[in-house]
Amino acid sequence: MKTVNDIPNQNIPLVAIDKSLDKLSDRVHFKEKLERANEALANAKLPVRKEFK
Amino acid sequence: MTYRFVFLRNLLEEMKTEKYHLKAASDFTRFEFISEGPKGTIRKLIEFQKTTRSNVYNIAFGDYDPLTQEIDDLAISNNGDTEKILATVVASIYVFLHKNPDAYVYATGSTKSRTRLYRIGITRFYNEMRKDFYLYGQLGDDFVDFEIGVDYDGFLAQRKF
Repeated sequence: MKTVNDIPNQNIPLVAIDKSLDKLSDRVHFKEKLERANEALANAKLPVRKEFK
Repeated sequence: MTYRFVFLRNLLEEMKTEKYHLKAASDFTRFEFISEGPKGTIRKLIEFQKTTRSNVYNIAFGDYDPLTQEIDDLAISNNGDTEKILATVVASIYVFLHKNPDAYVYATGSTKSRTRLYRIGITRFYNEMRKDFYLYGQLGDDFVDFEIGVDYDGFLAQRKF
């Protein structure tokens, strides 16, 4: 079992919840990119959803 | 609060590529990491944006200026860590799709060259990613199974892990 001391040496990313980032969720930071995506997806035929393995 | 996503273990061991540690907002739609290289440290923000299509999220990614709170996905950092950055972005997609299993993640570049960079990134990690994602390339209004060497207008990923 790995301990906290092992963390800096392992190649497994840690995902830390940082509540200071929550304020970034209030708005879209790159509107042009979202608009471009919406345009590209507007008439796109999405693939049929496949079942999980 | 820190989570270790065990499902990442196999992927990451196989990818053998260094990645940056990610910080996430509570809803896992925003991620941040710090790029480190010869040009110093650069804050990077990854944003999963809800599109007008149901369950389809656009991934936007770029340098983040905490003063203006703007991201710039046209920025070319040249910080010597492109592969590490791409691997980190892939890791964020894993996390996002783990939290949003019904979602599709869509990606397209701001420019043709940036879209090409995305294709290179997917190609680089294709063998690992295809084990866990259904990957599609966009040709006009159609999505087809992703194939290496084909120029696409955009990309779509669905989880299968």
